[in-house]
Amino acid sequence: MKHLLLIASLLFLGRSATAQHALITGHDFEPKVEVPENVQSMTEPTVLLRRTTIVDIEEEKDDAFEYHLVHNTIFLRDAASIEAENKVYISLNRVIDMSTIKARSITPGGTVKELGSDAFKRATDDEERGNQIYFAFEGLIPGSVIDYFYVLKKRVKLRGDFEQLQVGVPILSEDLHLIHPGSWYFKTKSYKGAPEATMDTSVAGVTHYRYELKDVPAMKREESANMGGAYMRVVYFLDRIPDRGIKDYSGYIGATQLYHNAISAPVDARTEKELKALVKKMKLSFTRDEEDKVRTMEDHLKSSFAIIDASNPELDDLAAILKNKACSEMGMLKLTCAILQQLNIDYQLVITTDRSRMPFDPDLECYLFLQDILLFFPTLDKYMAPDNVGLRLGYAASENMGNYGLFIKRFDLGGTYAGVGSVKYINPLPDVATIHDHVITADLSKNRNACELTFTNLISGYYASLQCYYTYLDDDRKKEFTEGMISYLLENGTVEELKVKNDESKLFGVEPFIIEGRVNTRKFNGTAGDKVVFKVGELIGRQVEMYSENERTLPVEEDYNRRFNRSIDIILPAGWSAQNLKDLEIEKHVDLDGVRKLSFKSSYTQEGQTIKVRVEEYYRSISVPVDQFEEYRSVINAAADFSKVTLLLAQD
Amino acid sequence: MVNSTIALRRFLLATLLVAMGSGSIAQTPDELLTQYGRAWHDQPLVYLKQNTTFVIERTKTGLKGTRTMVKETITLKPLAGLTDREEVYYGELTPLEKINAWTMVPDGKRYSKKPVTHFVHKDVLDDEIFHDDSRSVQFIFPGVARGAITHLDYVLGYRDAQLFSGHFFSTGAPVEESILTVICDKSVDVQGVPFHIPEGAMRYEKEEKRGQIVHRWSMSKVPPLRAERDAPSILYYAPHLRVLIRNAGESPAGDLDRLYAWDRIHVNNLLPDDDTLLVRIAKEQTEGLTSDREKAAKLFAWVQDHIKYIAVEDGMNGLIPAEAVAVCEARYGDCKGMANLLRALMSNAGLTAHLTWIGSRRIPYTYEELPSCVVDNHMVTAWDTGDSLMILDPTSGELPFGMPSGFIQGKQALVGIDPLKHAIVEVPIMPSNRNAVTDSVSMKLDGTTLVGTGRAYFTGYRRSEMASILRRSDPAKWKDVLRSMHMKGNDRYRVDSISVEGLSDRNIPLVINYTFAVPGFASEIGSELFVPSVLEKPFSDSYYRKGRTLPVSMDFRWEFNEVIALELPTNRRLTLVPESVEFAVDGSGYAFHHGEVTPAKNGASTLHLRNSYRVNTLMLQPSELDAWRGMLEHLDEHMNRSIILKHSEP
Repeated sequence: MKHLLLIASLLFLGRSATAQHALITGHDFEPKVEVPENVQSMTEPTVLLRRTTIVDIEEEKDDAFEYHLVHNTIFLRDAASIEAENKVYISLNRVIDMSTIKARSITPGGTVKELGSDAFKRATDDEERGNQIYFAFEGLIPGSVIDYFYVLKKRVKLRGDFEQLQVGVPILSEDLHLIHPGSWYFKTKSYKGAPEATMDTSVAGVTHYRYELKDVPAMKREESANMGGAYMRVVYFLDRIPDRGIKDYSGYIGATQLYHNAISAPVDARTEKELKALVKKMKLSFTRDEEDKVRTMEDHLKSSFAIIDASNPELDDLAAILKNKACSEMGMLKLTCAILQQLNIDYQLVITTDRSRMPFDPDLECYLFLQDILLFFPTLDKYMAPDNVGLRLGYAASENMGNYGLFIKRFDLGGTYAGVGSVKYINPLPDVATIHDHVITADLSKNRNACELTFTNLISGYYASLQCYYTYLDDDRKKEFTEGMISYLLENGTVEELKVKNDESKLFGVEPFIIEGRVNTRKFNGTAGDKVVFKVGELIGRQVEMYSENERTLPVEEDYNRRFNRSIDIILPAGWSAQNLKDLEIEKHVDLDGVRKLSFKSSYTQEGQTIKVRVEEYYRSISVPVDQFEEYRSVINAAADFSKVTLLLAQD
Repeated sequence: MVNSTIALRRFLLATLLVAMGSGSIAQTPDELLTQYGRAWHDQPLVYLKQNTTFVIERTKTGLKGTRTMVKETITLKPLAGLTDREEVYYGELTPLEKINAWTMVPDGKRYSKKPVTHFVHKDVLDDEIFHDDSRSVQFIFPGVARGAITHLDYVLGYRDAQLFSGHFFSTGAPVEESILTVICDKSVDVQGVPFHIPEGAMRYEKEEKRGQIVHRWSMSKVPPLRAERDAPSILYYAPHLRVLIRNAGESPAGDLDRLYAWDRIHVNNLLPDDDTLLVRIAKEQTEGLTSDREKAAKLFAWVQDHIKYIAVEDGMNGLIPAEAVAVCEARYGDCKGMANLLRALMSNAGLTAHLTWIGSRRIPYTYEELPSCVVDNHMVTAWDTGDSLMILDPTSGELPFGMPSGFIQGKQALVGIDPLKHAIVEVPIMPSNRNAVTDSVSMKLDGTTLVGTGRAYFTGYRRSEMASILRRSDPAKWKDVLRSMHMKGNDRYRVDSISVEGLSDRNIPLVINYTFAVPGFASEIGSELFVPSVLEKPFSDSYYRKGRTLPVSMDFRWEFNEVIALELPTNRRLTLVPESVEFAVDGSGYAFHHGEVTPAKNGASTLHLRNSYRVNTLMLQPSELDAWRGMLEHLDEHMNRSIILKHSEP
């Protein structure tokens, strides 16, 4: 969802004008770049020797701007690091002007090659966001250093912005300067081990925060962790300007009114008429209850209006949307809210972040955390993501859930409406909301070297986005997708029957998407002399072993809770029996605060020639503390272990 | 001259107005929905028109062209959830001269016309090309609902008519009518060269109108194009027509000479190249070397080592190579610049080398069947060994000397011998045994865990592939790289240690020494231990669905050999070894040779297994897929066999 009003044009300012800080105007290359000796003994191919970032916020005429300097000095040890770093792309999104750009390379022998102005290429985009400057370094050999800096004049995000202090390669020395007019008061907060600021008072009339870091380690990727939220960073925003009577500038009281007014604004009479006509087309009188009404409305909107990622004011404008049947994400939100108002259905706006990039901090009020917008229906206790075509009522994007958000409730003030906001937790959905269940009968009674599989495959929730798109496909593509989803059962077999149930988008979140079928296959049967090896574990598809060699440093954070129930009946040939049924019994779990949250349990019973295998696997918490990581891994790997179970069948 | 140009433009305008339609539709929305819904019942969208008109105009500087595209669609099922912006591409050599778009929105028994008013132009950045002049214009059709008809027409200018690429009759959706029209005066000859057009499916008409010759190729009811995993480029199966343009009276036999003359214009100013820097490098690198082959190999490796591939292809830079010395100083270049630098260095070392045009395997045509500039998209260097012309491609940084890059195998190359003389050579296809992984594994069982050491040799493209990944990876991650690329047994497989030999010398095999363990590799049931007889499954991604209609493209031919020495536990008796089997279809398949037992130290013995797999083709045609599946079905059965070891009697 596009940010709303994050870029502030402070028209009420303009009482003074300041100039770029001398740190920026006087900035240049160091006369000499030394590669410290310890860099030679490091193993990382790329090392950031020095990184300087200056954020200088200045008032000019009637507005405020940010001068943003970035200077990187990077050591490239080998051919691979040259290949990875020899090109630089600088986004000019939000940029008004690039006042300076310089780039040079320095070989180990000391030859310096500075790029001429024609080396800097520019990509232009009518929509601005694709505007870029890009260039390639010349003369690089292993051991070279690339050194470049640039200064951008940008539209400022006074209500919340951040600087990330850690990247995927080690940084030997890092400096972040945050400078703003001295009569303004900013708030800052350091995350994930980032240091607190020191104040530099050497220049009068400005406030100058400085963050200095040495030997910042490279951020290493860990599986099932929130990597985006793990980087050291500093968040900053304007809080008040006392001498102008401005206070709580980035607080949620103002945000609540801004968002409420922008999204739930009253519509003109003509638009209202068209909205009513649209509602009529939805045939809501046939709906059973309020939930059915909301679902029907949502499905109609998502099936009739294209959501397009483009900068075009018509995509945000209700009247134009109704005419063109195309909208932006914000446009779809406005349209949905306008219809809900027509239907008198109570809803709240919920504004949050993508937690995998920037977890919402419930203890800090600034607009940086107001990025993605959902709807919450208090009477249904369900969320909706109007801008996500692959989901329906009950489901918001998983990265928005398990996160805090600003909830804005509509209040009727006698004919006009106002918003009231509060920060609350958005619970992740329970495991039963996202399932992948199997019901399989493997009949080996007719031919012990092959089996006839009768299967029902049920998927829902985040596994079943296809349900929202399936009817768009033509017959060939439907077949291709369906077969692709269960290729682990069908590969090289003879498919006798294959059908799909609940393939309509309006059933997403109501009924699971079901694939049923029958296949004759030799894939699961092996031999060991006169015995048969039956690969029962492979019937649940490939399960990836979680492989861990390095010490775990981050807690587990998953996308969503989920469940996998499998019921597998194996019919043995008459006179045959399985010799290692005990291998089917696996049990691993994680308890959090004394409650079973993650579990894998497989068991079996035997009735005559039928072995009934039952597997229950669930994940009822998206987070597990780092000290219980091994327990978590054991549950994940229990599924992988089960997938490797083979039964040895022998004649009695 | 002026009068004939005005006449041509008038004629063109009249033709285009007919081609583009006036925006009025005779039938009602319901009638059209019924008509096309019946014909294409399951399709969400149908192209009513997909037409190209190319007008060739003779000017003082040569033949120029104007291309007009007209596309019209009808929506049968609204695709709201999958809709994105429309996009039209253009560039400096093919500028966008005009664009119009609108939607005819059903309005009762009529349509109302809603024009597109907002067009967004932007530069297109590409992962493969660092800098060029590609631009696109994006827009949104308004009011697209069931029954809506969208219309797009746009005009691209061609500064050189030879750059015209032809016409594709099909799209991802069915096409009702697809027409290529080429209009020219009598001084121009046009020949259409069709590809993948079913017998009798295309009509060709030629007529003369007001002094202009009008060629028209048309198809109707063209089924939608499919996409499949591992399929080759659509040029291998989409119905399309390329166009050869000549001056009237020129013989088709001279097409290739004329193409070469056209190519040569773009490189003439580069030759010769005796800059001091290049002379010095050529001399330093070849000093003390006596044979031409050694010199060629050394200079080839120098360019591979020192020049990074960065493509700068704006305007004529897409056709004209950068000067060799500029590439050398910048330490980067595109394929043309790198080829030119290698040529210049070789030439300065006294070798005979030539710039050479070639198409990657994405482009299926030979120079004989289509002597046109659309045949090639790449440049390499040809070294004249005295006996033959050897193709050298310095853009592939991991290639051993003498091997072509994988993506030009089997392709024809156009070698520029001198300003007038050229030669066509065919790039060899590397046999499977040149691209081999041979993994010698000594292993034993510790309970049900398999432990062992391995020494894996990688040659040819298998070497290039692995070396390139290792080079890009932190050595601390090499164990993960080996594990993910060559999983053994099951994914409990663990690589415990790793060392690599030969990474810095492309001309010798890459060798990976490693130790490993696979917990739970064997299954113990009662007194018997069941041990799988294969370690890796190199064909696990090679299953292709029944009903597939597209070919399967392989990157290269290859071979994989597991040479296993399994030390047998002294307390167990070998009671079953699966018998040796072989199965191959046209040289692709597998062979499992099992059974030899030799004495080992400490009274133990060793069972020897050799499991080999081979792919002996670059392309599996749809007609060959049944046999391929049959081979895999046998493989499933043969791979799923276990060795049995039984507890020795006390």
